[in-house]
Amino acid sequence: MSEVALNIRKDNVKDIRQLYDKYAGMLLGFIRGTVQDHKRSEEHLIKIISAFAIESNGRPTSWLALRQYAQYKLIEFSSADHEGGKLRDANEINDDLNLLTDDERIVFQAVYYQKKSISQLASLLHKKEDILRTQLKSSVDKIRKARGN
Amino acid sequence: MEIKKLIDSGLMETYVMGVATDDEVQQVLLLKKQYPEFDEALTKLELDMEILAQSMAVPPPPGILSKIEQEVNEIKLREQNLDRYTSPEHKYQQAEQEKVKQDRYIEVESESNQMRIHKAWRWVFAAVFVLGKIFLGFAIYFYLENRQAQEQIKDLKLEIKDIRSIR
Repeated sequence: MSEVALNIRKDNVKDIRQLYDKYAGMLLGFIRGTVQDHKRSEEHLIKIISAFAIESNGRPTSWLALRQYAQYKLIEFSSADHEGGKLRDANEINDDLNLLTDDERIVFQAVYYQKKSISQLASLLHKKEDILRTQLKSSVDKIRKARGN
Repeated sequence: MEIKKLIDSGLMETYVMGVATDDEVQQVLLLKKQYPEFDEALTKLELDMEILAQSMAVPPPPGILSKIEQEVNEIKLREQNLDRYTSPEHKYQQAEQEKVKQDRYIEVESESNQMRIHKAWRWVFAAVFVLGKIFLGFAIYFYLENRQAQEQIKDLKLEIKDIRSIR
């Protein structure tokens, strides 16, 4: 699409492209962790990056902020698709998750991809919050260690 | 020693994952300010999470960027239209249009049971009134004509009766 046909300013176009170049691939990988269907994950990517670009309005941003924004948006989309509350197994797209025990993987996926809070998980899995916190930490540590960090 | 315990507690992980409670967020922000060791560990964790996401990145198919630009364009257009419809200038213009519209209508009744009719109907009302008068005139005329004819018939019948009786 030519820039002339767009109703957005040139500096906005530049901001969008920078955001896209830096984070689009990471965000699509993250979305694929929660949405199996490739077409739908691409649609979500378009919606999330567009909305985030408008909200950030050229201000400097981080992957952490974008991922948290994406988590909120994905919860919105999944409740619209009547998928809320399900814990999805995403280890087919991420080999690092195979390093984790079953319990650690469940906790990591639920927190990382689906933004389930520790208290939500505790009631969902009938476990103590402290145990879940420890499992989350050990799962992150294992992944970091596997990557040499 | 205590800070090491806090780093190992899983507090940083819940914060970085975006699932920390308000109290935990406040605690992290305070610890970050107070302890450089905690701040350093948190920054490292954030960086590691970014590296993890990079390793899990999936290259978007071609055409996604133009779709994003199109989507942003559409959102901006929608926002502009919304602003236009909710702006004070638009409300003033609408009130003006409403006023002009009102001038084209006759107020038939001004209180509770109001009825508004377009001005064009006045010609129809005038035509109906004139036609009503014409029909009334015709009705009176034909009534009188009929009464006169009846009287003439009556007279003629009497004349015929008289002629027959003479014969």
